Amino acid sequence: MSCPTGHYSQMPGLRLRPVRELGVCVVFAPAEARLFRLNAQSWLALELCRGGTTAAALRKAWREVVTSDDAEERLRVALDLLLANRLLHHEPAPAEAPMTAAS
Amino acid sequence: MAEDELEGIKALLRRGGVQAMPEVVEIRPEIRSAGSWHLVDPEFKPAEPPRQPTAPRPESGQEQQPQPQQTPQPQPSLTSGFSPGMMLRQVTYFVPPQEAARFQDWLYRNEPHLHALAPAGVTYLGTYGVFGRGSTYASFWRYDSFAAVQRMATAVGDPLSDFGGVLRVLQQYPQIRAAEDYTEQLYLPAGSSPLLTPGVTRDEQPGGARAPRG
Repeated sequence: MSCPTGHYSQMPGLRLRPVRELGVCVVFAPAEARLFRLNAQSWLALELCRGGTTAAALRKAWREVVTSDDAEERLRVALDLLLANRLLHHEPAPAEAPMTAAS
Repeated sequence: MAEDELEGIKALLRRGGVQAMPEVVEIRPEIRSAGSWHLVDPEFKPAEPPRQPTAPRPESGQEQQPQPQQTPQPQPSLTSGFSPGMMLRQVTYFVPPQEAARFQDWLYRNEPHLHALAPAGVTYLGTYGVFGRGSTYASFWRYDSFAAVQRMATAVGDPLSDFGGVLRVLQQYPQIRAAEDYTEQLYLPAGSSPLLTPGVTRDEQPGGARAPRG
């Protein structure tokens, strides 16, 4: 399983509208005029990337909230989904050594 | 503000626990016009009125006058004349200039599919550049009936439909920077009077006038 590396940031211009009573967030991506519904975990991952963050800082912040054994896998899934839907921008850091599973 | 939001999400996750896997689901809006449809479906057949009981024979001395036969009025036909169809739909949209070449190439390769795969009663009439409005295109569709409109909607929403798949790719090219970047217009043949009913405003009809049928 690959660990997140590099730098993650929200795509510019995203508009987030929390629907707290449902525990989800609706995100509008104006560049493509697309709407998304994020559950709480994906919402957390996206929110942690507001303003940009390194993978290491992201993992640390994630583990403070998601403490289950499969927390790493959940973060990877969330990042994959956000990247696939172009809600996140990822800047790889080739020089950065892959992080270990230890937090 | 962002910090508050973050704390809110954390609290939400702590309260509810972490159960479902992360999820990102695209919401595909279904846009329903609030406007009235002053239309009558030409395929609509009104129910026959109940049969009246046979009238009693007139009494002697009161002979019934024969009623003049009503000559059926000729109905405008959609298959004759100049009408391009029961309904013509124009979708006008903006495609970024840097996408123009790719979009035009895609059209060149896929317009035959749009035409061939369209549901019964739906005809793809082509996509045109709008003269005088740079990077603006208009796609034209013809519907032969309301049932065709429904078939089109069903195909577009069907993930297994080949036609829907091609159309969804087409829909990825327009970019909506402002509301006027994507507009739709429906045209009805003005000469086909059965398709147009006198206007009924929402105020005049309780609950709003929606697709009145005659």
